[in-house]
Amino acid sequence: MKGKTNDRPDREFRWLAFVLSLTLSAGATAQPAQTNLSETHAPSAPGQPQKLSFNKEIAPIVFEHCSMCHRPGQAAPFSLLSYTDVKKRARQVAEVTGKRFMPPWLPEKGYGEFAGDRSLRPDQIEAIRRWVADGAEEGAAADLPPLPRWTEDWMLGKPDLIVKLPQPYSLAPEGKDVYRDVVVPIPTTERKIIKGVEFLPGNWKVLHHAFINIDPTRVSRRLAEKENPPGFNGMALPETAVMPGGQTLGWQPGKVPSFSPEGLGWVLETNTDLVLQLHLHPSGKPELVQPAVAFYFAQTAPTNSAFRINLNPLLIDIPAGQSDYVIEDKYLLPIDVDLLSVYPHAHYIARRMEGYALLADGRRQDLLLIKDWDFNWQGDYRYAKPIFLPRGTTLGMRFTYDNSAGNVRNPNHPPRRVKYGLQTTDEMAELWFQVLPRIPYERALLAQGFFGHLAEGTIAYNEAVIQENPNDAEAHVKVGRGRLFLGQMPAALEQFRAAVKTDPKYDKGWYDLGFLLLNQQHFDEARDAFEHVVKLNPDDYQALGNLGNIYMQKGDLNQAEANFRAALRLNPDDRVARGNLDLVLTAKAKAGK
Amino acid sequence: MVIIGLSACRSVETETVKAPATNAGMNPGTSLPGVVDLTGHSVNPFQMAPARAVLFIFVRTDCPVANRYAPEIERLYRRFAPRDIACWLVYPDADTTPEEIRRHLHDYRLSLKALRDPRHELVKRAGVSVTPEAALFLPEGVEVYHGRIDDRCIEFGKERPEPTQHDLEDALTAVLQGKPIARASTPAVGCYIPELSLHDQAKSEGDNSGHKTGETEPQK
Repeated sequence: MKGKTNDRPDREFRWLAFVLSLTLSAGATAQPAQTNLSETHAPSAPGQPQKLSFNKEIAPIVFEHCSMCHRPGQAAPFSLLSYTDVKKRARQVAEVTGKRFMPPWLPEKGYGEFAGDRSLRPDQIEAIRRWVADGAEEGAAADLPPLPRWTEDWMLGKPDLIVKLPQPYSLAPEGKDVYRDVVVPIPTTERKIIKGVEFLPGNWKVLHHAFINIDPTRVSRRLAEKENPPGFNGMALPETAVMPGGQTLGWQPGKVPSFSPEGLGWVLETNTDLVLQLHLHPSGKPELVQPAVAFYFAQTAPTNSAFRINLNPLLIDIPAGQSDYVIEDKYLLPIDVDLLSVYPHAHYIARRMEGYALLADGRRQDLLLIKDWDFNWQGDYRYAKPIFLPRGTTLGMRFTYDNSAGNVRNPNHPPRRVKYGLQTTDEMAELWFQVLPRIPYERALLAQGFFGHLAEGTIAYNEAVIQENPNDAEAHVKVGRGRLFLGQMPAALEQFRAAVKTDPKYDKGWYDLGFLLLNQQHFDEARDAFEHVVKLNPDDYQALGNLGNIYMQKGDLNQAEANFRAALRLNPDDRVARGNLDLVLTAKAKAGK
Repeated sequence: MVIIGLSACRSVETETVKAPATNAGMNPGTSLPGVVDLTGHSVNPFQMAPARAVLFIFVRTDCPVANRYAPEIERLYRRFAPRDIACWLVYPDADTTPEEIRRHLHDYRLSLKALRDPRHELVKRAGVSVTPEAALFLPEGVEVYHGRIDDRCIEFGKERPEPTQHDLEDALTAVLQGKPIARASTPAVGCYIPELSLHDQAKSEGDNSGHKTGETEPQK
């Protein structure tokens, strides 16, 4: 009789638990027709440029690019729906469009064509500038185009399920930005295929961006209960809270949601929690924030699912004062894929971001360029058309950081050495490529290959950490997990042993040691390790489940049952322990007969 | 109405102003007929109860930059009002109604007295162009500081995590201590105060036709 072993994904390896559920966001959003203004710039007579009017030349730009957010009840602080609205702020409009602060859109044109591109073309920016300089005239009423029609509620239509934060979160009027993570159970009674997700911020004024994660365990919920119900603060999520397979579920003002194409839904299991990560910006007065997420169910099971290639080099060590620190990473694609979307992420001192593909013939294809990264306007970008990348293509990223005092966004005054970390005063370098395998079953090859790449990165980073501090037990565990993934068992074992030797009170070190020993069928040593875990952390239901497993392997069914029951008392949703308990009870019943 | 000496008030950044300065010709009694309180009464903030200095902070109800400064404005008010600094919030948008201003004061927990300046008499006198922007005058009517509250905002949409210079607070402290103000003028970042249109001028004239004079109403 053989039971299943509880696994515990690490942050770098959290995909392990979710390799099979996946999809992509997609579904083309119609791009509104664009007015080419170059003709209207032509002078009406030599030396006498034609004066632009709001109704004829400016309103089409404003209505298409600004009004969606600049209308009542939306993210922007004031409306831009009429001549009077725009005229009143004409100088501001000219300035912020001229500086490309508005509409907020970080990618440069010509380096990947994205759906829902809100940015203005240079001729549109120039038209606004000229219109303001010429006195911002209204023009003939007949020239004014009608206002677009917007959906006042859910843009994707009536949802199949709405999950709303039961109580609003109360945001203080001032202070630094707040990262608030809230946990809400998703009330489904059966497995669902999700074809679309839409987010409503519940307070447009203060919510800067949000990420939608799913936790199939109770880890996030427990953390929330312990820290600050119904959530916790900070940018670090538990390893178990992830964006469901292959998805990049982010929201930022102006983002238009879309459905996944037929056959590319993702699986939502029952008994999972929604974990919303909210970046909140104090407004000057107390604010209540009560976001909601709508789910749209698909009828057809997924026939293919996307995969996220998250390039995230960890060896970041930026000297104080350096203004041109570069971080790079590359990954060679083992299969043919279509690139669907890209999501860049760093904190405050990143400046330039490049994403690119090196094709097998040596050509470089630009996939993303951001010249002046702004953490506050981060978002994910979906390509207008999927980009085919054949096997043998190298995906690459190159980020540049400015850690000098001259970088006004530098959170450290004076600048200090900055390393990898999840706090906003640390740095990160992430570029996620969401890809769809051309041949669905080749996804496993990609996963295996890419996770190996991640494991190597994790090992290199944590070995550097150990070099600086040989007593960092957590770093030993992470090197051990990387080695374990790469199949280097003796090296992994050595690291886990080093971890518990360095810090005998580090329950995670004991857990991983026990996990490896259990897999090597060293049951007595493994039991000893898991008993250490339970002693140090009595709430660790997975350690109890594994103790049950060990007793089951050794034929001690009573002890096995006791441990599985203990695990289930702590977490009634532990499917592994539940299944193993059933096995034990069946075996006991048979033995009884 | 005659506005005198405006350019003299706009010191270049490197220049220091010794406070208290001599009266540079600005007459505190200069009439400001368009400046009204929330009941529509004409108010001349320079002719109110004696103060060591008069501070105006220009705001709008719908300017996110100004709104984010509300707690800081209130903090400065609570610190300096008891030390004989007369503090005023000035709403220069002609279209903003007294009711909207009352709601704004309530929502953002601002306890300063509010003025409406629909004809931009104070805007011009102070030489401000955005919200939020501060202007500090000696009782004699000489402007000794105008500009930002602090240096948190670098440009529209670009800000430091925390300010490194507290220009207005430093100016207020210097005035109270009779010391020179290091920077009499700083660049303010925020929402532009739109120039008055004919519509605005007509509206504000209409608002103040037959204006009353008297004390301002208490805000709270």
